[in-house]
Amino acid sequence: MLSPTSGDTPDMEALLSDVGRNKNKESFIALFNHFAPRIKSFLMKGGANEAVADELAQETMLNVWHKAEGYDRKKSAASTWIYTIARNKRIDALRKRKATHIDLDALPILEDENSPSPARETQMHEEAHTLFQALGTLPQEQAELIRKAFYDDKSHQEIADETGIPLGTVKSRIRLGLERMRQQSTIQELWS
Amino acid sequence: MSAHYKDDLLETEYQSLLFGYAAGILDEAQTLIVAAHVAMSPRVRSLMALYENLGGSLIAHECEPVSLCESALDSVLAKIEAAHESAAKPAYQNLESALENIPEILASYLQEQECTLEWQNMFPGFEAMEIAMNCKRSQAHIIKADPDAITPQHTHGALEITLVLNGAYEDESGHYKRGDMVLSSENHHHTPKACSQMGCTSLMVSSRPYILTGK
Repeated sequence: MLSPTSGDTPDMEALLSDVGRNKNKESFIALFNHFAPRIKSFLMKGGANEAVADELAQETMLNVWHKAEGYDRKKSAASTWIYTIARNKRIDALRKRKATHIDLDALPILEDENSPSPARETQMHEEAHTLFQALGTLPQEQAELIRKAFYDDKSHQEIADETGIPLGTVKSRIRLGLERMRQQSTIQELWS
Repeated sequence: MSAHYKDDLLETEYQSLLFGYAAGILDEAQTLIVAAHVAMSPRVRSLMALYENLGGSLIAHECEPVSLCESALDSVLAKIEAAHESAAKPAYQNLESALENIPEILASYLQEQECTLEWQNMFPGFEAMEIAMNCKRSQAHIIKADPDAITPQHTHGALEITLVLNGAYEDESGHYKRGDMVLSSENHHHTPKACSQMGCTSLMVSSRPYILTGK
Protein backbone atom coordinates (compact mmCIF):
# COMPACT_ATOMS: atom_id res chain seq x y z
CA MET A 1 0.00 0.00 0.00
CA LEU A 2 1.40 3.33 -0.97
CA SER A 3 0.66 6.55 0.78
CA PRO A 4 0.21 9.88 -0.94
CA THR A 5 3.46 11.30 0.41
CA SER A 6 5.66 8.32 -0.21
CA GLY A 7 5.50 8.57 -3.98
CA ASP A 8 6.76 5.40 -5.55
CA THR A 9 8.91 4.35 -2.62
CA PRO A 10 7.87 1.20 -0.83
CA ASP A 11 5.96 1.52 2.41
CA MET A 12 8.75 1.35 4.96
CA GLU A 13 6.34 1.10 7.85
CA ALA A 14 4.80 -2.03 6.32
CA LEU A 15 8.22 -3.57 5.77
CA LEU A 16 9.31 -2.87 9.32
CA SER A 17 6.05 -4.26 10.71
CA ASP A 18 6.55 -7.37 8.63
CA VAL A 19 10.02 -7.86 10.06
CA GLY A 20 8.60 -7.41 13.57
CA ARG A 21 5.68 -9.77 13.17
CA ASN A 22 6.93 -12.36 10.76
CA LYS A 23 10.71 -12.11 10.89
CA ASN A 24 10.53 -11.77 7.13
CA LYS A 25 14.04 -11.59 5.71
CA GLU A 26 12.97 -10.24 2.33
CA SER A 27 11.39 -7.26 4.03
CA PHE A 28 14.48 -6.83 6.15
CA ILE A 29 16.72 -6.81 3.10
CA ALA A 30 14.53 -4.14 1.50
CA LEU A 31 14.78 -2.08 4.68
CA PHE A 32 18.51 -2.62 4.81
CA ASN A 33 18.99 -1.52 1.23
CA HIS A 34 16.98 1.62 1.85
CA PHE A 35 18.14 2.68 5.28
CA ALA A 36 21.66 1.37 5.83
CA PRO A 37 23.23 3.68 3.19
CA ARG A 38 21.31 6.64 4.62
CA ILE A 39 22.37 5.85 8.17
CA LYS A 40 25.94 5.59 6.99
CA SER A 41 25.55 8.96 5.31
CA PHE A 42 24.01 10.44 8.47
CA LEU A 43 26.92 9.26 10.58
CA MET A 44 29.51 10.49 8.11
CA LYS A 45 27.95 13.94 8.11
CA GLY A 46 28.70 14.00 11.82
CA GLY A 47 32.36 13.30 11.13
CA ALA A 48 32.53 9.53 11.59
CA ASN A 49 35.06 8.04 9.18
CA GLU A 50 33.74 5.73 6.52
CA ALA A 51 34.75 2.46 8.15
CA VAL A 52 33.20 3.40 11.49
CA ALA A 53 30.03 4.68 9.82
CA ASP A 54 29.77 1.46 7.81
CA GLU A 55 30.12 -0.65 10.92
CA LEU A 56 27.62 1.41 12.94
CA ALA A 57 25.11 1.31 10.09
CA GLN A 58 25.40 -2.49 10.08
CA GLU A 59 25.00 -2.68 13.83
CA THR A 60 22.00 -0.39 13.66
CA MET A 61 20.32 -2.66 11.12
CA LEU A 62 21.14 -5.73 13.19
CA ASN A 63 19.40 -4.02 16.10
CA VAL A 64 16.48 -3.20 13.84
CA TRP A 65 16.05 -6.90 13.20
CA HIS A 66 16.15 -7.79 16.88
CA LYS A 67 13.92 -5.00 18.13
CA ALA A 68 11.40 -4.82 15.32
CA GLU A 69 8.85 -6.71 17.36
CA GLY A 70 8.41 -3.60 19.48
CA TYR A 71 7.71 -1.40 16.48
CA ASP A 72 4.21 0.00 16.12
CA ARG A 73 3.48 1.92 12.96
CA LYS A 74 0.74 3.84 14.68
CA LYS A 75 3.32 5.38 16.98
CA SER A 76 6.24 6.19 14.76
CA ALA A 77 7.47 6.41 11.24
CA ALA A 78 9.98 3.73 10.29
CA SER A 79 12.60 6.42 9.70
CA THR A 80 12.06 7.84 13.19
CA TRP A 81 12.23 4.49 14.87
CA ILE A 82 15.40 3.55 13.01
CA TYR A 83 16.88 6.97 13.70
CA THR A 84 16.61 6.41 17.46
CA ILE A 85 18.49 3.14 17.12
CA ALA A 86 21.22 4.78 15.02
CA ARG A 87 21.46 7.64 17.51
CA ASN A 88 21.96 5.24 20.38
CA LYS A 89 24.55 3.27 18.45
CA ARG A 90 26.41 6.51 17.93
CA ILE A 91 26.28 7.31 21.65
CA ASP A 92 27.51 3.80 22.45
CA ALA A 93 30.35 3.91 19.99
CA LEU A 94 31.61 7.44 20.01
CA ARG A 95 31.18 8.22 23.66
CA LYS A 96 32.25 4.81 24.80
CA ARG A 97 29.30 4.29 26.99
CA LYS A 98 26.03 2.57 26.86
CA ALA A 99 23.20 4.74 25.66
CA THR A 100 20.57 5.40 28.23
CA HIS A 101 17.76 4.68 25.95
CA ILE A 102 14.11 4.19 26.42
CA ASP A 103 12.13 2.42 23.81
CA LEU A 104 9.35 4.89 23.30
CA ASP A 105 7.33 2.23 21.57
CA ALA A 106 7.68 -0.25 24.35
CA LEU A 107 6.81 2.01 27.22
CA PRO A 108 3.76 1.19 29.23
CA ILE A 109 1.57 4.11 30.14
CA LEU A 110 2.43 4.50 33.78
CA GLU A 111 0.11 7.24 34.80
CA ASP A 112 -1.75 10.25 33.50
CA GLU A 113 -3.72 7.79 31.45
CA ASN A 114 -6.27 10.43 30.75
CA SER A 115 -3.76 12.78 29.19
CA PRO A 116 -4.22 13.37 25.52
CA SER A 117 -2.56 10.57 23.67
CA PRO A 118 -0.67 11.26 20.48
CA ALA A 119 -2.72 11.31 17.34
CA ARG A 120 -2.48 7.60 16.81
CA GLU A 121 -4.36 7.65 13.59
CA THR A 122 -2.05 10.15 12.02
CA GLN A 123 0.10 8.57 9.43
CA MET A 124 3.36 8.93 11.22
CA HIS A 125 5.54 9.20 8.17
CA GLU A 126 3.36 12.03 6.92
CA GLU A 127 3.82 13.71 10.25
CA ALA A 128 7.57 13.35 9.93
CA HIS A 129 7.45 14.76 6.45
CA THR A 130 5.40 17.77 7.52
CA LEU A 131 7.92 18.47 10.23
CA PHE A 132 10.76 18.24 7.78
CA GLN A 133 9.04 20.73 5.50
CA ALA A 134 8.56 23.03 8.46
CA LEU A 135 12.31 22.92 9.06
CA GLY A 136 12.72 24.33 5.57
CA THR A 137 10.65 27.39 6.44
CA LEU A 138 12.68 28.39 9.48
CA PRO A 139 15.13 31.28 9.48
CA GLN A 140 18.52 29.98 8.46
CA GLU A 141 20.10 30.74 11.84
CA GLN A 142 17.60 28.48 13.58
CA ALA A 143 17.51 25.65 11.07
CA GLU A 144 21.30 25.48 10.91
CA LEU A 145 21.68 24.98 14.66
CA ILE A 146 18.96 22.34 14.76
CA ARG A 147 20.63 20.42 11.94
CA LYS A 148 24.01 20.79 13.57
CA ALA A 149 22.77 19.26 16.80
CA PHE A 150 21.38 16.21 15.01
CA TYR A 151 24.23 15.67 12.62
CA ASP A 152 27.33 16.75 14.44
CA ASP A 153 26.76 14.98 17.72
CA LYS A 154 27.90 18.06 19.62
CA SER A 155 26.50 19.37 22.87
CA HIS A 156 24.99 22.83 23.06
CA GLN A 157 28.22 24.00 24.68
CA GLU A 158 30.35 22.50 21.92
CA ILE A 159 28.17 24.10 19.28
CA ALA A 160 28.61 27.43 21.06
CA ASP A 161 32.38 26.98 21.26
CA GLU A 162 32.63 26.03 17.62
CA THR A 163 30.38 28.69 16.16
CA GLY A 164 31.28 31.50 18.53
CA ILE A 165 27.57 32.00 19.23
CA PRO A 166 26.91 32.44 22.97
CA LEU A 167 25.51 29.33 24.65
CA GLY A 168 22.28 31.05 25.68
CA THR A 169 21.72 32.22 22.11
CA VAL A 170 22.31 28.71 20.74
CA LYS A 171 19.68 27.35 23.10
CA SER A 172 17.14 30.09 22.50
CA ARG A 173 17.48 29.93 18.72
CA ILE A 174 16.90 26.19 18.76
CA ARG A 175 13.94 26.66 21.06
CA LEU A 176 12.41 29.31 18.81
CA GLY A 177 12.89 27.11 15.77
CA LEU A 178 11.29 24.12 17.46
CA GLU A 179 8.34 26.19 18.63
CA ARG A 180 7.72 27.37 15.10
CA MET A 181 7.91 23.83 13.84
CA ARG A 182 5.53 22.64 16.50
CA GLN A 183 3.00 25.21 15.37
CA GLN A 184 3.09 23.66 11.92
CA SER A 185 2.93 20.11 13.13
CA THR A 186 -0.23 18.19 12.50
CA ILE A 187 -0.21 17.02 16.09
CA GLN A 188 0.26 20.44 17.57
CA GLU A 189 -2.77 20.11 19.78
CA LEU A 190 -0.70 17.92 22.02
CA TRP A 191 1.39 20.81 23.07
CA SER A 192 -1.04 23.50 23.81
CA MET B 1 3.52 20.92 35.14
CA SER B 2 7.04 20.34 33.93
CA ALA B 3 6.66 22.28 30.77
CA HIS B 4 5.91 25.75 31.98
CA TYR B 5 8.44 27.83 33.76
CA LYS B 6 7.80 31.35 34.88
CA ASP B 7 11.44 31.99 34.24
CA ASP B 8 12.00 32.14 30.51
CA LEU B 9 15.63 31.07 30.80
CA LEU B 10 14.60 27.95 32.67
CA GLU B 11 11.98 27.17 30.04
CA THR B 12 14.73 27.41 27.45
CA GLU B 13 16.91 25.07 29.52
CA TYR B 14 14.04 22.62 29.81
CA GLN B 15 13.38 22.66 26.08
CA SER B 16 17.12 22.27 25.46
CA LEU B 17 17.15 19.13 27.56
CA LEU B 18 14.26 17.56 25.70
CA PHE B 19 15.65 18.45 22.30
CA GLY B 20 19.16 17.45 23.33
CA TYR B 21 17.88 14.03 24.33
CA ALA B 22 16.21 13.57 20.95
CA ALA B 23 19.36 14.64 19.14
CA GLY B 24 21.53 12.43 21.34
CA ILE B 25 23.81 15.23 22.51
CA LEU B 26 23.26 15.26 26.27
CA ASP B 27 25.78 13.96 28.73
CA GLU B 28 25.13 10.72 30.55
CA ALA B 29 23.52 12.19 33.67
CA GLN B 30 21.24 14.50 31.71
CA THR B 31 20.29 11.69 29.35
CA LEU B 32 19.31 9.50 32.28
CA ILE B 33 17.10 12.08 33.95
CA VAL B 34 15.35 13.05 30.72
CA ALA B 35 14.80 9.39 29.84
CA ALA B 36 13.20 8.81 33.24
CA HIS B 37 11.08 11.94 32.86
CA VAL B 38 9.87 10.86 29.42
CA ALA B 39 9.06 7.41 30.75
CA MET B 40 6.86 8.92 33.47
CA SER B 41 4.98 11.41 31.37
CA PRO B 42 2.96 10.51 28.27
CA ARG B 43 2.68 14.16 27.36
CA VAL B 44 6.42 14.65 27.31
CA ARG B 45 6.71 11.39 25.46
CA SER B 46 4.62 12.67 22.58
CA LEU B 47 6.76 15.78 22.46
CA MET B 48 9.88 13.65 22.37
CA ALA B 49 8.38 11.55 19.59
CA LEU B 50 7.98 14.71 17.56
CA TYR B 51 11.60 15.75 17.99
CA GLU B 52 12.75 12.26 17.14
CA ASN B 53 10.56 12.43 14.06
CA LEU B 54 12.72 15.30 12.98
CA GLY B 55 15.84 13.16 13.30
CA GLY B 56 14.15 10.43 11.29
CA SER B 57 13.09 12.80 8.57
CA LEU B 58 16.62 14.17 8.25
CA ILE B 59 17.81 10.63 7.56
CA ALA B 60 14.95 10.03 5.16
CA HIS B 61 15.20 13.28 3.22
CA GLU B 62 18.63 14.77 3.60
CA CYS B 63 21.10 11.95 3.81
CA GLU B 64 22.17 10.96 0.32
CA PRO B 65 22.77 7.20 0.41
CA VAL B 66 26.40 6.16 0.77
CA SER B 67 26.96 2.55 -0.28
CA LEU B 68 28.10 0.18 2.38
CA CYS B 69 31.00 -2.16 1.83
CA GLU B 70 30.10 -5.10 -0.39
CA SER B 71 29.95 -7.67 2.34
CA ALA B 72 27.78 -5.57 4.66
CA LEU B 73 24.40 -7.14 4.00
CA ASP B 74 25.75 -10.70 4.06
CA SER B 75 27.58 -9.98 7.24
CA VAL B 76 24.44 -8.69 8.96
CA LEU B 77 22.37 -11.61 7.67
CA ALA B 78 24.97 -14.04 8.97
CA LYS B 79 24.80 -12.41 12.40
CA ILE B 80 21.03 -12.71 12.35
CA GLU B 81 21.37 -16.43 11.65
CA ALA B 82 23.86 -16.85 14.42
CA ALA B 83 21.96 -14.88 17.03
CA HIS B 84 20.24 -16.70 19.79
CA GLU B 85 16.94 -15.59 21.03
CA SER B 86 17.71 -12.65 23.22
CA ALA B 87 17.26 -13.34 26.87
CA ALA B 88 14.35 -11.77 28.63
CA LYS B 89 15.18 -8.54 30.39
CA PRO B 90 16.27 -9.21 33.92
CA ALA B 91 13.68 -8.07 36.35
CA TYR B 92 14.96 -5.60 38.82
CA GLN B 93 13.76 -6.56 42.19
CA ASN B 94 14.07 -6.06 45.87
CA LEU B 95 14.12 -2.33 45.64
CA GLU B 96 13.31 -0.65 48.88
CA SER B 97 10.05 1.22 49.14
CA ALA B 98 11.55 4.62 48.33
CA LEU B 99 12.56 3.24 44.96
CA GLU B 100 9.41 1.30 44.20
CA ASN B 101 7.83 2.05 40.87
CA ILE B 102 10.72 4.07 39.60
CA PRO B 103 10.92 3.97 35.82
CA GLU B 104 12.44 0.79 34.52
CA ILE B 105 15.05 2.79 32.67
CA LEU B 106 16.37 4.07 35.99
CA ALA B 107 16.07 0.74 37.79
CA SER B 108 17.97 -1.10 35.09
CA TYR B 109 20.53 1.65 35.05
CA LEU B 110 21.16 1.27 38.76
CA GLN B 111 21.48 -2.43 38.21
CA GLU B 112 23.88 -2.13 35.31
CA GLN B 113 26.04 0.33 37.17
CA GLU B 114 26.01 -2.09 40.07
CA CYS B 115 24.99 0.70 42.34
CA THR B 116 25.43 -0.31 45.92
CA LEU B 117 22.14 1.28 46.88
CA GLU B 118 23.81 2.63 49.95
CA TRP B 119 22.47 5.83 51.34
CA GLN B 120 24.65 8.50 52.81
CA ASN B 121 23.32 10.95 55.33
CA MET B 122 23.31 14.47 53.93
CA PHE B 123 21.66 16.36 56.72
CA PRO B 124 18.78 15.55 59.07
CA GLY B 125 15.89 14.01 57.17
CA PHE B 126 17.85 13.62 53.95
CA GLU B 127 19.83 10.76 52.50
CA ALA B 128 21.58 10.62 49.17
CA MET B 129 22.99 7.98 46.89
CA GLU B 130 25.39 8.97 44.17
CA ILE B 131 25.04 7.30 40.80
CA ALA B 132 28.43 6.84 39.23
CA MET B 133 28.57 8.74 35.97
CA ASN B 134 31.04 8.99 33.23
CA CYS B 135 30.69 12.69 32.63
CA LYS B 136 32.68 15.70 33.62
CA ARG B 137 30.01 18.32 33.70
CA SER B 138 27.19 16.67 35.61
CA GLN B 139 26.65 14.49 38.62
CA ALA B 140 23.60 12.46 39.58
CA HIS B 141 22.15 11.55 42.97
CA ILE B 142 19.00 9.97 44.25
CA ILE B 143 17.78 12.00 47.19
CA LYS B 144 15.42 10.60 49.76
CA ALA B 145 13.64 13.06 52.04
CA ASP B 146 11.59 12.15 55.10
CA PRO B 147 8.05 13.50 55.40
CA ASP B 148 8.11 17.23 56.14
CA ALA B 149 11.87 17.45 55.81
CA ILE B 150 12.99 20.89 54.71
CA THR B 151 16.11 21.42 52.63
CA PRO B 152 18.54 23.74 54.36
CA GLN B 153 20.06 26.62 52.47
CA HIS B 154 22.43 25.26 49.92
CA THR B 155 24.35 26.28 46.89
CA HIS B 156 24.70 24.33 43.71
CA GLY B 157 26.16 24.55 40.25
CA ALA B 158 24.72 26.53 37.39
CA LEU B 159 21.74 24.27 36.87
CA GLU B 160 20.03 21.74 39.07
CA ILE B 161 17.51 19.32 37.59
CA THR B 162 15.16 17.44 39.90
CA LEU B 163 12.81 14.67 38.87
CA VAL B 164 10.28 13.55 41.46
CA LEU B 165 10.29 9.74 41.57
CA ASN B 166 7.98 9.10 44.49
CA GLY B 167 6.06 11.25 46.91
CA ALA B 168 6.02 14.98 46.39
CA TYR B 169 7.52 18.24 47.56
CA GLU B 170 6.70 21.88 47.46
CA ASP B 171 8.43 25.20 47.56
CA GLU B 172 7.50 28.83 47.15
CA SER B 173 6.84 28.31 43.44
CA GLY B 174 4.66 25.24 43.47
CA HIS B 175 3.84 21.68 44.35
CA TYR B 176 5.69 18.94 42.51
CA LYS B 177 4.57 15.37 42.16
CA ARG B 178 5.81 12.14 40.69
CA GLY B 179 7.07 12.60 37.15
CA ASP B 180 7.55 16.37 37.42
CA MET B 181 10.88 17.76 36.38
CA VAL B 182 11.96 20.95 38.07
CA LEU B 183 14.88 23.12 37.06
CA SER B 184 16.60 25.64 39.29
CA SER B 185 19.36 28.02 38.44
CA GLU B 186 22.02 29.10 40.87
CA ASN B 187 20.32 32.37 41.67
CA HIS B 188 17.05 30.67 42.44
CA HIS B 189 16.52 30.74 46.20
CA HIS B 190 13.94 28.41 47.56
CA THR B 191 13.26 26.13 50.50
CA PRO B 192 11.83 22.83 49.26
CA LYS B 193 9.81 20.82 51.76
CA ALA B 194 8.91 17.16 51.36
CA CYS B 195 5.29 16.11 51.41
CA SER B 196 3.98 15.35 54.89
CA GLN B 197 2.58 11.89 54.19
CA MET B 198 4.97 10.26 51.78
CA GLY B 199 8.15 12.23 51.92
CA CYS B 200 9.89 12.55 48.60
CA THR B 201 12.37 10.58 46.55
CA SER B 202 13.90 12.34 43.62
CA LEU B 203 16.61 12.01 41.05
CA MET B 204 18.81 15.06 40.94
CA VAL B 205 21.32 16.05 38.32
CA SER B 206 23.48 19.06 38.97
CA SER B 207 26.21 20.63 36.96
CA ARG B 208 29.67 20.57 38.34
CA PRO B 209 31.35 23.93 38.48
CA TYR B 210 32.29 25.00 35.01
CA ILE B 211 36.05 24.79 34.89
CA LEU B 212 37.83 26.61 32.12
CA THR B 213 40.22 24.23 30.51
CA GLY B 214 42.19 26.95 28.78
CA LYS B 215 42.45 25.11 25.52
